[in-house]
Amino acid sequence: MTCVLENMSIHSFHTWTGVAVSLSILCSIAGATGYELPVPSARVHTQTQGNVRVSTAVPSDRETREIFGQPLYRDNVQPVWIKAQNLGDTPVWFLPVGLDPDYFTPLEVAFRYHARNPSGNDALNRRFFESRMGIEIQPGETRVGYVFTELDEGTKAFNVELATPGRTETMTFFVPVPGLRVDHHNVDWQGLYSADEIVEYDNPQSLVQALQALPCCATDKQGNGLADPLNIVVIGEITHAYRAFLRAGWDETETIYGASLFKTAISAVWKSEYRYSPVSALYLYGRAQDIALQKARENIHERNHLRLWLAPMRFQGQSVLAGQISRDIGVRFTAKTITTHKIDPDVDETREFLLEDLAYAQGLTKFGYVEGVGAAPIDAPRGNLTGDPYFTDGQRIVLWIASEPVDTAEIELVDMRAANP
Amino acid sequence: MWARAVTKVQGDVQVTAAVPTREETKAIFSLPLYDRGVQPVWLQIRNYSPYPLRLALVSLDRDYFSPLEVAYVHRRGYSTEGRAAMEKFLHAQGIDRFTAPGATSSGFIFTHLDPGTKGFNVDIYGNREDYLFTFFISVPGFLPDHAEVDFASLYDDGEFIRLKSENELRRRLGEIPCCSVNTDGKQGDPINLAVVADPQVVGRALLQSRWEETAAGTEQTAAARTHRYRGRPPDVTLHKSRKDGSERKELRLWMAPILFGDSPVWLGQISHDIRGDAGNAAAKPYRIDPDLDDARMYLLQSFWFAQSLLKFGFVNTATATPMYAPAVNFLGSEYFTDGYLLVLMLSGRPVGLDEVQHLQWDTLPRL
Repeated sequence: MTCVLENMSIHSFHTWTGVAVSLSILCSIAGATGYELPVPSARVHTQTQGNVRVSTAVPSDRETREIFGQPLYRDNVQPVWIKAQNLGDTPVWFLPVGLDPDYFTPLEVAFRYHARNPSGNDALNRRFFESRMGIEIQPGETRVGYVFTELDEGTKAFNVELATPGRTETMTFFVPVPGLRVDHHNVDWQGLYSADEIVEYDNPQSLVQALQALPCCATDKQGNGLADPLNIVVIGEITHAYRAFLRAGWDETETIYGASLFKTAISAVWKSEYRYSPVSALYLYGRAQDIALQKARENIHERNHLRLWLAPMRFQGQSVLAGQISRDIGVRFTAKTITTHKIDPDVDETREFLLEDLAYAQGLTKFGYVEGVGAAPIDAPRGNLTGDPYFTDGQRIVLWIASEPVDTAEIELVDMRAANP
Repeated sequence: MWARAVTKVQGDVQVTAAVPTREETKAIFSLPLYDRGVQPVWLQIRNYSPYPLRLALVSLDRDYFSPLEVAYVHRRGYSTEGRAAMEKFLHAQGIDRFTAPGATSSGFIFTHLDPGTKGFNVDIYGNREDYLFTFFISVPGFLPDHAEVDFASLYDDGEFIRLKSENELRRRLGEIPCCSVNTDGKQGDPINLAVVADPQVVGRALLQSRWEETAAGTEQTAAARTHRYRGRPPDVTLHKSRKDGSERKELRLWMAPILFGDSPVWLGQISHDIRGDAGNAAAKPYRIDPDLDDARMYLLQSFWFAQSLLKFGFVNTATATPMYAPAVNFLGSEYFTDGYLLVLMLSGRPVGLDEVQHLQWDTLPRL
């Protein structure tokens, strides 16, 4: 009945020629990805950007079973509920590949639960198909539905990408899911430093000096022992940094305080992909990393880790994060933490990989290099805390994060050595 | 390997690429890299420009292996000195990202093994100038299906329909056959894609969005080749799978006798094979996802995110089959669709996510 009522209201406002089209559109909204699709949980997160308002919710394992009647979590599928409102006057395209490049189609999920007796299979197909999220959202329209994603074992962190002519709105969501680990720590960014601790830099020269004056390396908890080199600097808003890293396929991960090591060990033995092996805590500014990210490749031996700390400085009003990146090429079993990652000694290679990775995810506007790590040639490598050797040209890469997508041809190289007195 | 090397020039930059076979790789590195899923690609970059050049390694393979990672994988069985020597050797073989003005750099990049023609992009960045190359290098032992097609002789010159405006293109695409057929003339899948671009641009875009070629004359292409357009099997068949192997997408393209400007128009279809249990091949056989439109939208996005999409639009071909009354193709697979043809105009130059243009042709219905 909703369908008819909606149609009637349109009927009275629009010209006769538009009626037939409006009718079919409105009926199917109510029927397929309809307004009636209930919110799966009270944990709804809403953001508005440009002309789009997006709400998301991620049902837990139990809630998912109640909604779909099937154990999706057991089968590595996690539904994400999306409600997108187009407040503007041009169509908006919702791109599920931005949320999960390997998303499952509704009928693919349904097919997993098909019974031998096919009598109920049509109903099952319909249940999933009709709950899917639509792609195109007309002006003034609201669409509601699910995207079926790969299961994340902790906080669900994802981008919602919406394209409108000449503009892309990307919103980053962090949605904790009951029953799963907490790995996204809501860092109190404002509380890390008092106002008088933060130094504001406006000219590039003083920025270069400040970045070169950062310590060469992270340390252990006591502030002793030199850990991995601080070879990356990220400039931009923190939310934009998360957004860019997520789009490039990085996941947030947990810092080792004891959890999930068993899983890492299993994964190392079986070489299966476990996306969430934790990273150990390294220290800068007297605290463990503020952000720990990783990018898994084919198995646990192939993954990249990076750690970032908010620095007590701002450049032209933007946040500055310092950190390190390493490429894990193997896992060793050690007494201390059960498993430790063996890193690629060529840390500059990994640093340059990060630049390209973010560039191809359209997440960078500019980059440049400063000194400060201290060179260590291949014949005289330095060691990190776990005794892994590394060599480097001593450069630190400075990455300016884009607030909106920038294609690779537009990225600028900033000659920071010119700014170096 | 050198006999199969390919050289390309763009402006002031010359790139030569070669791919050693399994045996040649073993001879060069004394290591069985292919057995570990690693395939080296040799590049030589000559820089005749007055500016330094930077090679983006991820343009060849988003997940390439670093030289020392390759060394680590092969560490077993070496003495300490032997291993150090092997690491040094591999590190020295890796290509330098930077090429100074007037200089030449060369070396290997270690990519994931492709079971086929090695198709890859080589993106090089200079001073506000970029040089985007695409290579297809045959590796003995593999022949992709499109290598068996003689594109130049598919049509006589007079056969081509030449279109100038987007409106003409839209009208013409509304008149193409609805579906592929088999040799008995029975209907296969809807032709629900039209791609407008030069062959090398299509190839580049497909590589960028990680589609893989399919070997000619193998079981892999057998089902695809039962689909005919103008009496012939697909000119190009590509596929793409999720890492766990729980699904497979298949893209079939035919070059049509239509030119838009100077670019050929390719007609195509995409299907999505799904399986009951993730990663368990024995659990259930593949079947076709009956929702053809989802796979079509996936392709749209895969080009969109790979910076390859310039414009897109839809043409209503009035061949909708609803979910409750699905059509059946000649292989017995059910499908349903809104009956809209997706038109994709690709670009060889990177296009930002927000620069993609939506042609205001037909508006998609809500199924």
